[in-house]
Amino acid sequence: MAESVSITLTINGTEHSINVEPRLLLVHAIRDVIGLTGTHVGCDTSQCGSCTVLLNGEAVKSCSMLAAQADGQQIETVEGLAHADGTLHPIQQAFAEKHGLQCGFCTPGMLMMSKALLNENPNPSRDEIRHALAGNMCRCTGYQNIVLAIEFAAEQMAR
Amino acid sequence: MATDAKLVGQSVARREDEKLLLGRGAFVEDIKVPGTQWLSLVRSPHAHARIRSIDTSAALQAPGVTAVFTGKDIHPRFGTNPTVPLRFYGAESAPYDLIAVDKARHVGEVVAVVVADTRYGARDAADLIFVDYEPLEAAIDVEKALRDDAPRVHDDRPNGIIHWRHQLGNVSQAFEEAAVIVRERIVNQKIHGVPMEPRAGLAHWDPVQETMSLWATVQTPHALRDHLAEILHLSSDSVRVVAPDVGGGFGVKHEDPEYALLCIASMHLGVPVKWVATRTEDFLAMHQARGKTSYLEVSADADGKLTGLRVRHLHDLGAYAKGPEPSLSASSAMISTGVYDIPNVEFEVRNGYTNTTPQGPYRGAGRPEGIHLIERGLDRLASELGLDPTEIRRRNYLPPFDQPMRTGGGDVFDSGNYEASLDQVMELSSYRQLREQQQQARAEGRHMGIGVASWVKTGGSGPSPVDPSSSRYEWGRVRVDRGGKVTLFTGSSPHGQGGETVFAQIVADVFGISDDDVTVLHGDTATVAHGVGTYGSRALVTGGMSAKIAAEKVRDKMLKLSAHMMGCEPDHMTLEGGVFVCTTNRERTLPFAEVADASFQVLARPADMEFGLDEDSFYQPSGLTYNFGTYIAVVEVDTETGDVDLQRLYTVDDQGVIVNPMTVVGQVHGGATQGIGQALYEISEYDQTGQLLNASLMDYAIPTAEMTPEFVVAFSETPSPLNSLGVKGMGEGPTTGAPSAVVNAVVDALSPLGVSHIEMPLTPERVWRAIQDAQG
Ligand code: FES
Ligand code: FES
Repeated sequence: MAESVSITLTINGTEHSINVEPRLLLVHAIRDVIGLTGTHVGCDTSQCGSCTVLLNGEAVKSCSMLAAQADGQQIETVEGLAHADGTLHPIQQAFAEKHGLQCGFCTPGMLMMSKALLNENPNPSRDEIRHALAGNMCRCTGYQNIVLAIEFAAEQMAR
Repeated sequence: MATDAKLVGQSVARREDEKLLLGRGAFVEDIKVPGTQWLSLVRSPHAHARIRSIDTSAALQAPGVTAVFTGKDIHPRFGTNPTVPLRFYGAESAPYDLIAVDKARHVGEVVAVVVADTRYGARDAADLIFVDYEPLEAAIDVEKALRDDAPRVHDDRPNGIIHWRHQLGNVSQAFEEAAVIVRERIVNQKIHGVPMEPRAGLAHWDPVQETMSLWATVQTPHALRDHLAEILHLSSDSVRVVAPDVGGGFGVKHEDPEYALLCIASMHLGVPVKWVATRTEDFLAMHQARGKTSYLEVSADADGKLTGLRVRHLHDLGAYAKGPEPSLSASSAMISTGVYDIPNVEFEVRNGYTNTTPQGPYRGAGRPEGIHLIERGLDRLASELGLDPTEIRRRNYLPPFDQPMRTGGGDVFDSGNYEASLDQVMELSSYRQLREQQQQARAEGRHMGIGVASWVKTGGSGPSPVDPSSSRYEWGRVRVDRGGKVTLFTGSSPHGQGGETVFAQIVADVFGISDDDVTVLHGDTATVAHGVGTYGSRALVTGGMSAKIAAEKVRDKMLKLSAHMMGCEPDHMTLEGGVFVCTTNRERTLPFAEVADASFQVLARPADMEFGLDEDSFYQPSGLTYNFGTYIAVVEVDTETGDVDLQRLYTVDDQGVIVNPMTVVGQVHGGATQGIGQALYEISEYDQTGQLLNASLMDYAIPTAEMTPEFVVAFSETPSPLNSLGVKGMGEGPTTGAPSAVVNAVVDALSPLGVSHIEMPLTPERVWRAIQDAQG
C-alpha cells in the first residue's frame, strides 16, 4: 500500500502527473485525485455505465480499469464535452431538448457513450442506439427520451 | 420580466439540466471538505446470528485507522433508531439498534464501524474485524414466519405484530350467490428501488458550536434532521441536513441508520467523515419493497358485475419496522377495490418480521400490490365469463365524480372518470385492430397478447384514511427582494422530478412575471426552515400549493401597498403581467420592482404595514389525491424459450391539471419502466438461510434500453377538487399500472395454451414452466 506509481493522464487536453496506489481505479483517480467529479460511480460490478469516459476516443468504464493502466493515454470526460466558449455540445443540447435526463446521475455516462456511438456510427437506427446503451443504466427516464435525444443529436451533427 | 402568458401548462425547459449536462452537479460524493476521513461498515454475513464477541484489535492497528466502534460501544449513549409509531394499529415496534448489539437479524445489518484516513484504507481495515457469530435458524418466508413455531426475529415478541381488518357488506353471502368466483394466491415479490446514485453521506461536527452538518442523499432532509436530533440528543436547530443533487430516490432514500453512525463518528473524532455505499451494500441494507403474499377471492354475477372481494394480505416487514411501512400494508389492501364498485369487501392484513432486510416504501408504496390483485382477478373473471377484459372493467367502473367519495375499500377518492380513461386508451392503441392482429397472429402460430389494467394511486399526503392523525404539511416561503427578484424556499426537495422548474412556473404565474425572475431554493435545512419532503406523489400537491399560497400572500400585500402608493382603492388594484394597475384609471401603473423597493421604505408604506415582502405557508391538504389511468400492453411470447417481447405500452394518465407536460411524460416513461421491471425482471431472491442471492447489478436485473418497450402516452385532466391548482400526484401511477397490464398481456397470449396465471417476475423460466404445467 505504501508503494505508489507515477503516471501521467491527459484529461480533456490537460496533462496531469500524479502518484497513485497501483490498485487505484481510474474512476477514483479522475474523481478523487484530479477532482473532476462529473464522472460517477453507480455500481461495483461494471454494469451501470455511470463511469463511462472515452479512452483514446473509445468508451470505457473507468471503474473497471486501474489508473496505472491509463498511464500516458488520452481521456475525455463529461467536463470536456462542451465547446471552449461554454456552449453545450449538440449531444448535451439534445438531452435537454428531449428531456433525456431527470436526476442526472447516469447522464455523464450516457453522454460519453452517445459520443462514442456517434463517432462510430453518425446515423444510428433506434435499435442500434438501444443496443449501444445496453451497458448504461438509467432508473429515471425509461430510455425513450434518451434514444430520441441521441437520434436528434445525430441529425443536428449531420447539418 | 413581465409576461402575460401563463406558465402553468407549458413545457418550460428544465433549469436543473445545464449543470447536470456539464458534469457540474453536486452529488454527496462530489462534495469535498478538507481533512475528511472515510467510514466503512462491517455487515453481518448471517441472516440470524447471536454475536458472541467482536475482536477489533487488528483493525485498530491498521495504518490510517482512527476509530473502530461496535454496537456495545455506542449503545449506552446513542441507543436505537426512534421507534416507528404504530398508533393506528395500537401496537409497538421492536427496538431497532443503530448497530446490532446481541443479535444480527438480517444479512447486511451493521455490526461494526471503522474510520480511516483514506477510502481504501477504511475498507481494508473493515476486513480485519473478527466477529464470532453463533448462527441461528432464520425466518425468511413471511408465511412461515407467521406460524407459532417459527424462529423469533425478536426474542421478546412473536413475529406477527399487526393484525388489521376491514369489512363492508357480507362477502360470504355474496360468494354463495355469485355466478363465478376466482381464487388465487398471488405474490408481489420483494424488489429494490435501485436509484442510480447509491447512498452517501458526509457528516461534519463542529465541536465549538456543537452543531452537526450532514450532506446526505435523501428525499426528506427535514425528517432526517429531526431524526438525527433525537438520536444525537441535540435540538433540531443544531442539526443541519443538506440534500444536494440527489441521484434518484423512488421512496428508498430516507432516514437510514448509517447516517446516524456517520454523525456519531464525526462527533467522536471531531473531523468530517464520509461514507459512500457500494451497490452491494445498498442491495443488502437499503430498504426493499412490496413483499406481500396475498390470497385473493373475487366474485361476479352472470353479467360480470363484481359482487364480492376478499383479500388476505401477508406482509413481510423484514427484520425491523421502518418508516410508514406497517401502515402501507393496510393501504395496499384498501386500494385493492381499484376503480370499481364492489358492494361486499373483506380485508385481513397481517404484518410479520422476518430475517431479511427491512422493507419500506418504493414508488407505489403498497398500491401496486393491491391493484395487481384486482386487475388479475378481473381478467380471470372475464375469461370465465367469456367477456373481453375491457368489457368487464366497463361494467364495474365507479361512475364519474368530481367531489370526494368513499370507496368500498375505505379510501376517499377526490375525483375520477375511469370509463373515459378506458375509451381514450382503446382509441390510442386502436384496440379493435389489435384484437384482429391477435387473431391473425394466432392463426400463424404466434403468441401475441394484449393486457389491460386500470389503476388508481394515492398522492398529496393529506390525512390518510388509514391513519387520520398522520396528516402532513408542506412549507413554502416566498420572499421578494428590493429589486423585485422572487425567491421560493420549499420543503419539497426534488431529486430528478424537475421540481425547481415546476415550482417556479407556479410562483411566476401568481405574479405574472417570467420564471427567470424566480429562484427556487430547497434541500438545505439551514436555508429552508421547515419541510416534509418529496415522496408519495406529494411534491406538486403540497409543495406546489404551499408555494402558491405564500406567493399569493406576498402578492396581496403588494397590491395593498401599490394602492396606497397610487392613492387607488385597494379593490381596484390589479397585477397584470408584473405591473400594478389601478383599474379606475388605467394610466396609473407601477412596476413590480418599484413596489418591492417601497416595501422597505418608511414613508412609502401605510402606517399599519410591516416592512418587507416575506410570507410563508404551512399547507395542509384536506385529503389525498387519487390519480388514475388505464394502460394497454402488447406482447409476443416465444413459447419455446418463455421469452416475453414487450413491444408497446399505451398509457393514459389522469393526474389533474398538468403543470409541465414534458416532465409529466418523463414521469410516465420512468415510472412505467420500473413497473415493467417488477413485471418481467426484478426480484430480491433469498435462499432459505436468508442469503440474498442477487445483491449486485450483475444478478439483479433492472431494465436496460433493450429491455424497455416503446411508450405511447396520452393524458386527460380531471382536476382535483381538493386544491386550487387542481393538481394530483402522478409519479407513482405508472409504476402502479404497468405491472398488471404487462402480466395480463402475457397471460392473454398464453390463455389458448391453458395458462391462467403467472407470478411476477415473468422470467423466461417462469413463463416456460407455466406453459409446461398448463399443458400437463
Ligand atoms: S460504476 Fe457502474 S459500470 Fe462503472
Ligand atoms: S436520469 Fe436518473 S438515472 Fe438516469
